[in-house]
Amino acid sequence: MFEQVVALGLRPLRRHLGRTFVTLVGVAAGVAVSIGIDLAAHASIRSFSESARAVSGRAALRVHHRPLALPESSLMRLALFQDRAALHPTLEVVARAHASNGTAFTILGVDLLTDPRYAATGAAAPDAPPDLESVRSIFDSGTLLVPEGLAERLRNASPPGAARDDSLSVIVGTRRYRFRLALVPERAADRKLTAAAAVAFLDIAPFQERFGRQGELDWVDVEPKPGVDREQLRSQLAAALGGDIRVEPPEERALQMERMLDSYRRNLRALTLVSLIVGVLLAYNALLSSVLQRRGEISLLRALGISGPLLAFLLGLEALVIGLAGGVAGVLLGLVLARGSLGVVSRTVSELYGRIAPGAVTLTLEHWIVGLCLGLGAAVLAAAGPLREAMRIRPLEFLRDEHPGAPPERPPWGRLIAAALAAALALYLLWRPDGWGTGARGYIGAAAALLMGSLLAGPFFTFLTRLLAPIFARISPPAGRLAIATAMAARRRLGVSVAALLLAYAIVWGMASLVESFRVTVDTWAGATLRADLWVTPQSRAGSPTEGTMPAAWRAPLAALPEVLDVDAFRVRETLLDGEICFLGAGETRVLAKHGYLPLVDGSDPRPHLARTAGGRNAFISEPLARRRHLASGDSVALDTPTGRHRYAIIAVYRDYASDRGYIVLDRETYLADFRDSLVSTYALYLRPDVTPERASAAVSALLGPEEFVRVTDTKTIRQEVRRVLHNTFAVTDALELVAVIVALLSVLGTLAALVLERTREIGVLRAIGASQGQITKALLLEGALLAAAGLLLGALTGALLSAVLVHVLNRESFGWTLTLATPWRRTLLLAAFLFVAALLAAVPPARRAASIPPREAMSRA
Amino acid sequence: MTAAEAAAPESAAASVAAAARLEGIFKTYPAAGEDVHALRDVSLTVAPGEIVALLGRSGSGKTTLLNILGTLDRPTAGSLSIAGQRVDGLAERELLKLRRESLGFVFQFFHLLPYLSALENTVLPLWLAGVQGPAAMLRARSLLAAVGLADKANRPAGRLSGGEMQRVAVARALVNSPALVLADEPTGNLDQANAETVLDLLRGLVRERGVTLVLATHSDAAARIADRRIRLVDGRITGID
Repeated sequence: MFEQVVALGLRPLRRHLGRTFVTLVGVAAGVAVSIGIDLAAHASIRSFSESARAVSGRAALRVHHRPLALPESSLMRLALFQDRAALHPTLEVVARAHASNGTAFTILGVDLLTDPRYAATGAAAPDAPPDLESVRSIFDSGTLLVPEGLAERLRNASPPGAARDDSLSVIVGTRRYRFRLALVPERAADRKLTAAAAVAFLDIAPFQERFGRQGELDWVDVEPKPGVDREQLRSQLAAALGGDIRVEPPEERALQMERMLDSYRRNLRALTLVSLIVGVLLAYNALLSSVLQRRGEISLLRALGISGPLLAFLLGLEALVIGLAGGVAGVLLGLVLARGSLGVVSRTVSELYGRIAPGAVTLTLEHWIVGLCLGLGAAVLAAAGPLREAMRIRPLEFLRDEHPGAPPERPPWGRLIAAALAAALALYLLWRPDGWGTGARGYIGAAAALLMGSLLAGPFFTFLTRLLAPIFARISPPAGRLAIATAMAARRRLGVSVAALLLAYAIVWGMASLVESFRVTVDTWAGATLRADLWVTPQSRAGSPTEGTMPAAWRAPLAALPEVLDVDAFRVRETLLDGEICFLGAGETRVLAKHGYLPLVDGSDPRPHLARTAGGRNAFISEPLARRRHLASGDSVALDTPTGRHRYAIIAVYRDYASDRGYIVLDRETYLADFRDSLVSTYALYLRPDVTPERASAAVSALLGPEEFVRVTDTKTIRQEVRRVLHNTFAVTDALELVAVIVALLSVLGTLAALVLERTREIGVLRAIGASQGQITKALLLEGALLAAAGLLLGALTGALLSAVLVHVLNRESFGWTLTLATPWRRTLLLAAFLFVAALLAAVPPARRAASIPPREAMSRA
Repeated sequence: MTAAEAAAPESAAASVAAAARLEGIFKTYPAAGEDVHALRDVSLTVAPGEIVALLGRSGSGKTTLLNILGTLDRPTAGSLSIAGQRVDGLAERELLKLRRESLGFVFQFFHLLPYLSALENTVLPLWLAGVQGPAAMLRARSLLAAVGLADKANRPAGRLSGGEMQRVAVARALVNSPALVLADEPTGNLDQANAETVLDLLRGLVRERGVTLVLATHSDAAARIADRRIRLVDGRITGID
């Protein structure tokens, strides 16, 4: 009996392979996008901690004084702990292979004889006696030890000549260094870690010598000996070192970075769920169509006495199989998608947060479970409505050859009230973007906007159909009247497709508007703030503005160039604000007040504020930091400096779209006094009115000479770079939009094909009583047009509300930026035209097929 | 007299102006094992205004013959003329025009469009033929009144009873003033009372309008309204009453 029920339940899957395929594609696409994008984001974000693990080895604690260097003398105090832990002093520097766009990597200065991280590469086996040749090369300051994997990447990514087998030329800061290259064999197990970190090694003494870091360390990793309690050791170390030197787990910084990336990941996850919703609607349509096609069969089974639960099982089996198969296919597709999008996501993370080398995308049991749950959940959600429909079928329907007919006319008050409430909630959140539920308000608002659209889909379709009925009847009397009648009859089914289409369009509208708002806002901001004419930066900088520095001594000769009117020496480094990583900037506020501009959040003139900042412990902070830390002008921030902990009064909050990590900006004079750091990250040059950037650039290059490797960029290029970063940041949304649109179109195609299949007999009757193939095709096309028009019009309304929520609520609480809402009209209108035509084209094949069936044959089909 | 001869109209005059004439009609359906011969050498002439009943058991070829008369199916061999015009070689477009202008259909399972009202179902053939406006609606309404459904004109067909649906189907079959109405088991899906009502209406309306009616049935009651009753067995005409 069970086998027969299973066979009966699964038969529709085999009989309607096309529909089964489309439904599977819908569920699988939704699951794939959710799993794939999350996998890619996870792989990118996880690379922070993987890099941290790679450079910390087996160490359980890290002693550091970030963002300041650790005096090498602190090793003396740490020596007291040598019986309880192994100590691994470390220095680090970011290098870039000397080539245009050369590969960036980290050079670690470690004790190569004892350090387990170098040992982990397999070159130095701790149990084997050291080879004399290798010992000699270790102490040779000209030899850089590069793991095979990284050497391969350097060779592949660099143009011929930049990295050869025996030597490597790299830029660190503004200087070029040539190293002999010693390849270090890697054990397979370590490849992943060293690849994630992209690390090469130099012995600590040569490192200090070559990079001018004598007497300094960046940190000391502490590896407790067996039996030593980590927490106890940690508190003893902290007590012994005292002051501001911190003792933390080595991955702490990476975890801080990963926590910061949570908002990026959460945003992506929310966007991917939308594809799943559209997939659910597609599956709903297909399953409902299956139930409607099997009315006779279900009615007969009811007449023969099948129990409710058994009927539910029989019908639910189809959904179950689709859910499971869709889940499995979705996870596998997700893996492919993740590998495809990893580059885009990693590039975004690298540019916005810090240089990473993404690890491989790997599927875990958790992904399989999540994928299958998503697939099954989508199928169960999709099956609920059709199942309810099936349970309503009366036992005698098949005997009387009854038709379901048009749904009863009932004003959809419930839906309209619910839609009004959802819209009111979204509008309330727009009106009050801050308040209860911070962190979730954006999602609630977006969900409310989409819910409003979905709830209105059916009523709006009915309204539009009635509104257009006289026009259709006038334009094309028989086909138009037929289209209106059939659309009204199938309005519940078509309403679901309208919902799928409107969701897809609203999502595209919302995401495109968010991107456009970013573009317009950042363009305006860049125009207002990037007023210097030339920007001089170290050539080694690969992403973060903290990478690479230049000497302060360059300021005077640069300012003395006849082409240059003024110079702003700007320093950027990381700092900790109550344990949270943010950027610390120090610029010449006098120069900024004279030539530049700092757009303040309150819209006031920045010049008096800039004048007040000079010389005192005052600070400007960026908008994202102010929002995240609930800071405002009049408050203060406390920072650790080499001269002690100081408080800086916040003068004003300024708009900044360069980073959501947040900036604290001090006057350079104050910074020099408190931080005793004269290095410069960027020289901003203001040129005399009659000087072209090209001429000034040539003068700068001539001044610095061939030994200094800097990048001199004009403002136009900087703005292009800002746009490029922005474009990359949102590149992943293009893929999401595409999937949503494809799934929605499949839903439209599936609905129209199913409706035509269900109406085959009616079409046969129409042909018998005088309808031409053209009239029938036209009627179906008009029905498709109605569906598309309703979906797109309501989608535009929903999209407008969604975009406002994304821009003013979600973006504000995720990143802390204030954006100007802008809609890319050209793109949204072109997409609407494309979707409209695509929906019409989707109706053509089923319509032509149905109209070509001979009437006698069509009428004989049940 | 052979059965074929018996199927011919009695007068030569009627033959000249025949509503429908079938000569040597064969219809064979290809099948996996052996071809199915649905009609074998059927010849039949139907005079204008005549009511002809096709009688026979299931599978005797009644519906196939009706479908060929209605140009819904093409014969494998033989010729078919409607109102003196040879139609078996016509293109699909011309056949469509013929169906719109000259033929009306009543089906066993009513085949109304359930989401259209009774009035819209009735007027549909006129719309499809390009006849619009109040005149079309007026004609449809008068036919609905003639079948006793004036008060249910705006009710969706899906919510009518079986007898009411078939009465709407009768009105629809007559709305374009056809010369020939073809009814396939028009009472096969109705109870006795409704069947009698529908038959009375059919007979009354075709007589009143001078329309020719060919109905396929295995009901003796339905056959009683016919002027001639033609019996089919295994695709051949075997007798006439």
